[in-house]
Amino acid sequence: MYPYYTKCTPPGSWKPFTLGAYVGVGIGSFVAMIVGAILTALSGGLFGAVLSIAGYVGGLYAINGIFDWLLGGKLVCLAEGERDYEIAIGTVTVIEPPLSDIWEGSNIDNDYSWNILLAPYEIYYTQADLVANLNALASDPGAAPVFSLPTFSTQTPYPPLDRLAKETASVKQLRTTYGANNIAFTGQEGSVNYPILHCEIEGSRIFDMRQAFETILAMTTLASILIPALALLSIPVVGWFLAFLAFLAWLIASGLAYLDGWYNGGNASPGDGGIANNTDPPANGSLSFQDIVLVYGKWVYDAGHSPNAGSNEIHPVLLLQKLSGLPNLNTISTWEGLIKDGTSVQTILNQADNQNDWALNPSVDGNTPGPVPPLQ
Amino acid sequence: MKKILLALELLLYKWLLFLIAAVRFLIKKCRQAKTQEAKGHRPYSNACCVPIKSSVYKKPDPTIYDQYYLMALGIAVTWDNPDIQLYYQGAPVSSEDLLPATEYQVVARIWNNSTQAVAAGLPVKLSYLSFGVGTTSHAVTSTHVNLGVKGGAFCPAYATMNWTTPAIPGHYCLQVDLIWADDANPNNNLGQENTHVGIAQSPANFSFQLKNPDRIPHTFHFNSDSFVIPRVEIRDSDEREKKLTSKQKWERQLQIARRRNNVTNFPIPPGWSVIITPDQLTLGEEEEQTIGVSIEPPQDFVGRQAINIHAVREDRSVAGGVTLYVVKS
Repeated sequence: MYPYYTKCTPPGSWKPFTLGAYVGVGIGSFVAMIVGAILTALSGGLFGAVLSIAGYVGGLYAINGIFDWLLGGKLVCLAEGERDYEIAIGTVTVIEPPLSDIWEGSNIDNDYSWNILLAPYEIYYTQADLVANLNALASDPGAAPVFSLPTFSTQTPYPPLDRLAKETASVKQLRTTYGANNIAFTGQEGSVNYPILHCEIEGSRIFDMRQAFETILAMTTLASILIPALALLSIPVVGWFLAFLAFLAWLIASGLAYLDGWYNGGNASPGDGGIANNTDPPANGSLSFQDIVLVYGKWVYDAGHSPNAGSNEIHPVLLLQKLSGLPNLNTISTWEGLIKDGTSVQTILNQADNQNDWALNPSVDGNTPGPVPPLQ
Repeated sequence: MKKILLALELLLYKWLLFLIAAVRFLIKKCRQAKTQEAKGHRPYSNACCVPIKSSVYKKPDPTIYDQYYLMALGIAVTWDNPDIQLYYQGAPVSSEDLLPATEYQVVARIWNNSTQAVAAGLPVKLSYLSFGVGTTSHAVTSTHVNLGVKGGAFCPAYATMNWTTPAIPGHYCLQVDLIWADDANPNNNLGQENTHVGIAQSPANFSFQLKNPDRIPHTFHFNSDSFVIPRVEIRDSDEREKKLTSKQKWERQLQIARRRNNVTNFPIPPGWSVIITPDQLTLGEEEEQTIGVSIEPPQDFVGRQAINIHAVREDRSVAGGVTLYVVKS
């Protein structure tokens, strides 16, 4: 199984994100640090130092709280049991690859994301679209294409996959705003609603940074007790020296923890996930606008597209396959059956068995299979 | 020194930047959502080819005993395909013993070398050729199978297709081709069944057609061996190391395959004579010629012996082959 770092919250336990509280704690912490530092500088007293450290610890807690919400608070489980995991098939309309610079705002989140227009809806190009695309490409080679969508009248009224992008009854009970970005589409034929589903492969940066912050928090808490205690309780010169050594140790250890989290935060793109039962070579490739894909993963409502607003997603995506065309919707249950079988405990156990330990053909490098069995 | 300075920066003020960045991230997401809605879901990135190397992205690898692929890897093969079987009225029949204008059922066993990706509705195509090498393929029919992952309940999958043999009596080859666009390995999808039985009447005489389907002339020569697929029931424990990377596992399995299916271990048996006429020839564009094979067993031979004949081009690529069985009771 591909590693993932988030967990969803049952709708009944979900709590909205209190952005103001976190910002308040952050600002308060910073002010406390500055005031504490000034007091220490002016008076040399212990109170200023403690205030400064408390401010620092408060700031770390605020960041950790945001990490907790991003990893475990913003996703709402949409179903329980077997149907937690869903299959979606559709056409790629938007791709958001992870970027590299952690300090550039949204790059804290290094997930690899894309949107799909759920089957059976297909995009197509009108003459006007093609002209618009040619003109756009002439001035900007990276211009995104303009495309059209068929009208609803040509489609089954409620295809089976539509439900994945619709607000569920459980989410309606929550204090969030649904569907800010995923369901409405303004195409060439006017404004119509099409079921568009967001999909995300998770990167590990937020998880790794939270781990680093947890380490730092523990060390800082210890240091905030140890350093003043050494300075206060020991004999003056030796105590100050020991306090300085403890401060240095804290400084170096905290710095290393930061760096560890920073550098270990792997993007979702470069294949950082080892899969226990996976012996496949990595299927390196690319995802393109208009690719037809099958996506399998956890079906959740993501309330984190903006604070307390969002839409349904497959998050995390556990399996992505490209298809050569949109399959008949009658085959969805077949795809589902094959994938469920492929992820079952029995299959994973079978894969570890020497009966399946081959790479070319069982007759060539595995346990020789019997003859092709008679017709059923 | 640089790292220490960086750590100091992080401790002194970058934690605050991190907090600001987290808040900016949430605000930016909110703005992106609104902008996206107004623009009608246009991609943020260029429209084409955003690299994705994640292990989440998987390709199924539908495969059958593919002689061309295996020989290209240096593995000995038989043209009596273990994954293709013919049936007549529910009973298995040998492909060398077919009646003209008769309907048979061809069953192809299809494997998936992927442990995670599946292929629902995998197209399977059946065609036949005149007995020989490089001869023209005639499409028969196609069907679909639902192929699950390796080790699952839906692997292997079996494709059953009806085939009515041509009215002209003769020997025919069968080809089964698996078609999947996003295939992890598209080179292992073509299985071929080319067999013929001859009664040893001092000698057993066979013939097959050799055709050059290319637009440039090719020179062919022939290799022969007595390879049959060795039955392996229990794998040696030293062959079953676990926790290998996919590349290491591939290399290990290739070594096993080459060792087990080593053509030097299956020479023409002592006392046997195999004469191919001509043993080397050049064929022009679309040119075809009958190749004669005369196989003489030792006097005391009783039983059934497989002799594989492989046609090899001047560039050492395999053009095809046949498996001939010599029978003497």
